[in-house]
Amino acid sequence: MGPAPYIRNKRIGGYFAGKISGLGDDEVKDGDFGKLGDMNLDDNGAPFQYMVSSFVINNIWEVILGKNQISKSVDYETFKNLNFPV
Amino acid sequence: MVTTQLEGAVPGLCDAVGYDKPVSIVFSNSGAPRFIFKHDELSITFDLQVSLYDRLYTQKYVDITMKALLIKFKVRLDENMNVFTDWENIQMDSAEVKPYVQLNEKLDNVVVVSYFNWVFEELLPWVNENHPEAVSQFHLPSTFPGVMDLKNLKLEVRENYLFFSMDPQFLILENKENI
Repeated sequence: MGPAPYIRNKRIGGYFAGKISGLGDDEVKDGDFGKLGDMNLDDNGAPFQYMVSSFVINNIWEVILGKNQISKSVDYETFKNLNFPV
Repeated sequence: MVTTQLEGAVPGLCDAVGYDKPVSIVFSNSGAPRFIFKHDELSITFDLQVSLYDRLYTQKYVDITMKALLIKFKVRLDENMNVFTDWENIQMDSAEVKPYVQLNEKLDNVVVVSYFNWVFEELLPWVNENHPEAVSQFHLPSTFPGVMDLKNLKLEVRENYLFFSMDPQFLILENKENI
């Protein structure tokens, strides 16, 4: 867990840490794809705020699609109706 | 799309299967995408396998694996909870082509990359003008029945993360039997 929840400017704030299971050696750890958020909530903004870093998003996608293949078929008629400009 | 339009990428395809033959397509991911956040701009890079078939999927013509496709775009959310992505650039780094029909001409992956990067240039204004659903437009639910209504949802791309903010109204009623 991160720092304990706090109350500031009549708001409850807090940070949490999570664990993404199933990554193994393919975890995205650093570089452009693995940056952490800045962990700086705005006490005067909307009542509910949420930040998600590229580190979290890319690791979630790695679990979902890293070793799984999902296919989408687009038949000739559907493609034709899209009026694709080529 | 018909075979004649693909002749520029796959020379000899028309000789092999015929001119103006309707083509159906299967898109498949190859590994996971990667997102990059930079100020207000979002980028996604991924490998995509494109399998070209005849109209009824009875004969596969060719597999094209597009490597390191990179799309740069901006994200905006309208008052009806529609997320729009405005594409600024799309480029492919390299490609691999595997034919399933007998081609009389030798395949050149550089030609394939050049052809599709040209297609992408044509694609950009079409995507941004039409915002096809599930391609550059996505709808977010604003109500979770019996749980909450979402109001004033905002979405921003910041220096290295996505930022959401909202004013939720919780609808869950107190169950006194559980007190």
